[in-house]
Amino acid sequence: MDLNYIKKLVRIVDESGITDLEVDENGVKVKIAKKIRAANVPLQTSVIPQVPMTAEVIPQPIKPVPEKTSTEESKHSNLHEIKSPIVGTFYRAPAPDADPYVQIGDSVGVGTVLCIIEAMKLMNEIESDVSGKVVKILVENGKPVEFNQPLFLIELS
Amino acid sequence: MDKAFNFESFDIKLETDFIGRNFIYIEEIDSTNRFLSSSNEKYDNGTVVLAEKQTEGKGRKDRVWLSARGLNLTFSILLTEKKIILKNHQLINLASSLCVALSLENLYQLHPELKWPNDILIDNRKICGILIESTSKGSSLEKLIVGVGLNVNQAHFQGDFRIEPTSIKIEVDENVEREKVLAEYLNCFEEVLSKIKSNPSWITSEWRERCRMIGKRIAVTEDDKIRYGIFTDISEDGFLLLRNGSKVEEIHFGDISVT
Repeated sequence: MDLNYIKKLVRIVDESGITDLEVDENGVKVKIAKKIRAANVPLQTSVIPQVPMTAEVIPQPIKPVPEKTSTEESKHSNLHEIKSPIVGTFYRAPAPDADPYVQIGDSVGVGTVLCIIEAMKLMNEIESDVSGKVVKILVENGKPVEFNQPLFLIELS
Repeated sequence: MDKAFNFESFDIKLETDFIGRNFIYIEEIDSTNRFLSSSNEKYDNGTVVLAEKQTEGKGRKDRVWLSARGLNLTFSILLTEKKIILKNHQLINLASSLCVALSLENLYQLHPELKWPNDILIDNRKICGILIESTSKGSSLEKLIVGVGLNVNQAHFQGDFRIEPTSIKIEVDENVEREKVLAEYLNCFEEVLSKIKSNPSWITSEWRERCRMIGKRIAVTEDDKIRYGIFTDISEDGFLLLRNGSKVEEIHFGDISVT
């Protein structure tokens, strides 16, 4: 049974009022079922319902393997390193004349924005994944950084 | 005249498996990128947000993107698949602009030019701008948002622009169907994403073919700093390779112009 045929069946189910369709062709069985999902977006938006993806399973994202802890971290177990996820340029503020996101001594929580790394026209905002105090900023504003280069040391609270 | 976005006509033309299958339409919002980046909602990989009007459309750094209500396409695509965003995020920069070029070639036989890193020009006038934003918690990328501003049916532009703007309507001399353009772009985007995984050099070679600045002497400007050199090529990751004498430097960002 070819994929386009299945896609057409999915569309037929999606556009109709039925919730289930079962097709048996030369012993190959396909069952398409529609889940009615409640829209969960703000009021002013309207939404096209999702087409159920019964013909293909999207693999769930795999959690990345945790990086090996650096020597500095192992020496001071209450210090947490934030490293750059990409190659780019390090910015401590959202715009040249704006205040830095964080200063040494600032308390940060999970989700606090620490800096931006820019590469081409990709602006990557780095949020803290821990709660604590910024004790060291390891890169100067506007300098290039490599993948995995340590940027901040956070003393865990 | 602006015309309401017709979902049925868009949906019929959308042939994707996941890009745009969760589609959010908003009349007016500050920025579609911000909608996806600041939301605590866990939206599906491939979610597309289209707004008729952005009040704070964003460009690089503190630049703004201006677009008339209901005439153009301003939208953002959310990507959360780790396989793509951890390894290939740089190529998405090239892929997102390449798809605009391919769509305009297929639908209207236009000949867009790609300007590094991801502007799309027609006869030196800007038809589309792209801003990609990502967030990472600690050291791992969580989500990546591709924001696209494509001028479709706007015929007049007021204001001062760094690069003179144009639109599809100006280029083809008639109103075009926004639904068709968006569906074509999203179809292409999904196809190109799969190419990023299977054949990444296809992206760089197709991109190179549409970049007329390669081989020329250029200036790279960032804040007060200007660097000069020959734009020799783009790297496999999409960075600009600038040659000055015997030294080749990899450029990560900046505004480029031919000198």
